[in-house]
Amino acid sequence: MTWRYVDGLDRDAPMWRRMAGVWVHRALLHRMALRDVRLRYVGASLGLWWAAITPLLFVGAYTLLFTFLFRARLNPGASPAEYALYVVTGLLPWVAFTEVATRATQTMAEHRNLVKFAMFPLQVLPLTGMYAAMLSQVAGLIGALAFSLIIHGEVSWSLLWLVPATFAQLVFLAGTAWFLGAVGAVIRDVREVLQIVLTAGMFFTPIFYRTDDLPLLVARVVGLNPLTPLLGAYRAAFLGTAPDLVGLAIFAGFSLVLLVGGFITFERVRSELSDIL
Amino acid sequence: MTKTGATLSVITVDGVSKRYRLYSRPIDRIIEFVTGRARHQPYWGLRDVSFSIGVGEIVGVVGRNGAGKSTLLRLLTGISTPTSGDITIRARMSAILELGSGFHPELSGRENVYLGGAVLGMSTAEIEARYDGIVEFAELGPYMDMPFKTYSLGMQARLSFSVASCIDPEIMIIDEALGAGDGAFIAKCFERIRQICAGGATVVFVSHNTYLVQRLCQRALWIDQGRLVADGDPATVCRDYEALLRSISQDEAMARNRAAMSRFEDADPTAVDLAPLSRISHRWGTGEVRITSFEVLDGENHPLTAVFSHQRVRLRLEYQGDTEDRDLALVVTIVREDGVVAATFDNREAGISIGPVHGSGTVVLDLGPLLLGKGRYLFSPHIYRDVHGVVRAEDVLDFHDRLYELTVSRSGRPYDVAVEHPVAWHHSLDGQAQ
Repeated sequence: MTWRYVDGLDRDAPMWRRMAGVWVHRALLHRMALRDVRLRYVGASLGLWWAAITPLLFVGAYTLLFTFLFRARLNPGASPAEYALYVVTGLLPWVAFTEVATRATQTMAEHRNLVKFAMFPLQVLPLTGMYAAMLSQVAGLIGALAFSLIIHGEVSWSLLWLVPATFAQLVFLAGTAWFLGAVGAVIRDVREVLQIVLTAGMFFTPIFYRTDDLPLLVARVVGLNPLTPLLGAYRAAFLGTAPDLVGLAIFAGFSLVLLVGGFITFERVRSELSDIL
Repeated sequence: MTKTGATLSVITVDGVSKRYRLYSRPIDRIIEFVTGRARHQPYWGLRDVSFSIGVGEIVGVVGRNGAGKSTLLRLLTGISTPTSGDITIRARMSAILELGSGFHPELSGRENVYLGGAVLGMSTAEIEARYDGIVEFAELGPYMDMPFKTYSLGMQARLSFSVASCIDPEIMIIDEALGAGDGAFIAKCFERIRQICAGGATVVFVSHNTYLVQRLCQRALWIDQGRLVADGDPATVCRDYEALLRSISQDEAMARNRAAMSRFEDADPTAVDLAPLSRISHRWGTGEVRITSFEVLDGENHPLTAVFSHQRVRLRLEYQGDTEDRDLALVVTIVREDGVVAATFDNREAGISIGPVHGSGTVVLDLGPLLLGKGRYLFSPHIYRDVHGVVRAEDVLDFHDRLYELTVSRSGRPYDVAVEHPVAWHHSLDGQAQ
């Protein structure tokens, strides 16, 4: 029988191997993510169901509010169901992003015992929030898929856009998690700033409106939001609209840079973390 | 006792220092990062520490609170990075720096075993294969589905140790983690650690408890004020360390202040007491009566330093002094190298009274044939005033703390025994046909 140990000295390994360490520790990532989700709802009588109920209620409430109360439509005369699908497919990646960003700034401080007293592969920690957020998103997307089947009555090839969209989103979220995990651990103020940025950011993200409908100046600002092409790709998958290919390519490139940059930032801070926390 | 040099070393620590940066306000860290101008106060957790540890050695680390023991372990495990110096680790390592790393009080014992195992790097299949062994070792079978927070401290310690030690590491690092278990469990932990060592693993064990260090370790490191001040056999190092503790309690505030000051970079190094060994005394007391000589003698009154069991041994002690006190207690304690008190001789039990003293006297203790088993023994003769029931510092007239040494060998087969008990064998054959 062979034993494996957490490699306490993997900080000396080259950067790519440390990054690959995340794959080596995937079982640990899975367990830690589940642990975090369970802990959040421990003692609640509905337990883990809250992990599904909360986002469903959130997304459902926003969708109903804009579809039926504000009577917003994608085009004059279009069905309310199309608009609801538009909102859901935009809201789900946005919620995942806010979840990942918020969790990442807290996660190192929350697990300070692991940082200070255990030979733990720390690069796994910021990703636990991403794992949980993506599980919620997948659950939501399955719901959206069912909804789409009902209103469209068929499965479209455009659903294949989900593959590049999910892949680019994972890269983007991992980069965000590492970067904010590192910065948030060193500078506590980042958490507060982040909440303001996220609240404001929601209005500069095309969740409830289309970029085409905006005045040119505002559209330019919203166009700078890296999430805009990602949301476009999800809409392409579910609504059959034309995706912004150039935008998506730029988003993918940006995500890769963020991934590498975020990981390097995290590794820079990592050896100091046990002294800082 | 130490096995450095000749054997292959698995841990090499070469000139390692660790400097912490203390910021008085959190914003100073940001200002320093932006402007590049230092706004922290440097604090040396460790200064220029070097040693190496060979395969299969069991090394104890002693030192006062804040001396740098935990910093050293954090550097060894790679959790923290040294400011300067090199650390080389040539084997896979497992560490218990804190009880229950990765454990969460709200989760059940069972879930915590899986989490703790995952934190140590085990796969789910590996943990499953070991689960029964872990629970059995911790003796917590009926409690595994209860939340961890409902466990007593001792139960938490048992489960944590059980999980951490189940992975047969090549190097095992233990920080103070055994403290909370009860006596029987500590004995089990020792057994487990001995098993790990017998399998060729190396153990580094940090404790305040010098008795544990002597029982468990073959070698001891003593860290004080961030420096390695002693490295040698546990009996000697622990004796010196205890002597320092005594000397410090005498002028505690002063020593503590100086120790704290010395680790800030801008402190005047000449004002620093860098050699605690010079503060050590193995002999203390008021000196009203002094023990002027102490000897271990054989049957022909020749002084001895090595002896075989069952040989006749006598102790001769001379004292001198001037006191009106009656009822002086003259006690000789024999301590085995691992800290076990092997024998105590007390004049009052023998019905001999000493005092008042004006001048000198000689006491001879005839031990007869020596019953002590194989090992190295240290003698602590001392005289104190027996008036209060409790011995206070001012009642100790002269104390020689483990100053005299005797090595006992065994003449028969090489058994490791505590006592060479006298025995007479009787053998008879019952009803056997001729």
